[in-house]
Amino acid sequence: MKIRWDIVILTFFITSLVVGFFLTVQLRVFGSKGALEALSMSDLTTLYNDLNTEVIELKAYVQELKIRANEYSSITGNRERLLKTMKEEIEMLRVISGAASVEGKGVEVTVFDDKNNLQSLDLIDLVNELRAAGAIAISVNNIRIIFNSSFLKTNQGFIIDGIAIGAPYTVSAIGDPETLYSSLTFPGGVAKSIDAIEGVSVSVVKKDSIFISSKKSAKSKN
Amino acid sequence: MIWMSILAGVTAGVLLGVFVTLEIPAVIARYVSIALLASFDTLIGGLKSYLKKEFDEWIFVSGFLANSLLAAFISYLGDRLGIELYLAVLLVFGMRIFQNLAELRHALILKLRRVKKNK
Repeated sequence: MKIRWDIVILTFFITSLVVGFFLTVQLRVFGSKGALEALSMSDLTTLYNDLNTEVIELKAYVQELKIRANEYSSITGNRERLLKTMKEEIEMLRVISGAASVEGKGVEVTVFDDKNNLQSLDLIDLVNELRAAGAIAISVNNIRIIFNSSFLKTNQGFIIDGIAIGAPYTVSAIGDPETLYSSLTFPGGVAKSIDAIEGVSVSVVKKDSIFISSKKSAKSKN
Repeated sequence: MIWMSILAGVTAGVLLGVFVTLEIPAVIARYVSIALLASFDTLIGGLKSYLKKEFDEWIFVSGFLANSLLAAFISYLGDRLGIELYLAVLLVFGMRIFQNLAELRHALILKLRRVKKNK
């Protein structure tokens, strides 16, 4: 009976040793990279796809920057070309900042709002959607919308950058007409959701030529 | 005595695990976790049968090995086949752990009561 007792002790000792050992090892493994291990398969798939898309986009961006870097280094000898590129870039930045007038293809959105039900957030949604769709210049009732434009709801309409406007509102945007048009009018898009507000109706028209004047304040600062 | 051996075993195991830097690959780590659950169940089951005076070291050791290996293998098979078989293993061993713990508790209380009576 003495021997059996020893074996019992030994087996328990060894098995609990194995359990304790692997428990510690596992705790260390999962402790170091636990966040990902704990995720389910579908979460991981989503994460993986998102990261893949990001990598592709970033690679494309790197390629673009490389091309630009090449351009710069290839024209350093030629001062005139360098100057020309710089001027183009300045012109582009002036367009984006609202300091320059822009003319081009785009869309014109007319929002009728007889009962003054349109909220400033709706208008901001509309402008942001256009910007996200690649509009390079946007104006509301001929007021140029730039990065720090403000929208304030009043009893008669809106005050945009200190200028009071009333319905109907004409939102002009310069960019690819097809992209801008479809970004607003797809089912569930901004145009549809604003159109659903009582007393509000929206029409989106593609235009071959739109002129958006420069921002006065931005120009004076320039 | 038996408690001492388990305590000493777990302590030694933890110390060993802390000092021996064994890196388990992430792919296998999941299966080791499941095997660990199974072996934990066997350990508790062994303790229970010991208190019930039904302990057999061969049954214990073979159960320890077979359960953990089978648990890991079933989970692996499930991952291969695209069904989440590890859930079945998790459920069975999770339930068994509670079952064994309950029986262990019963056996322990009965034993303590007997000891008290004999005094």
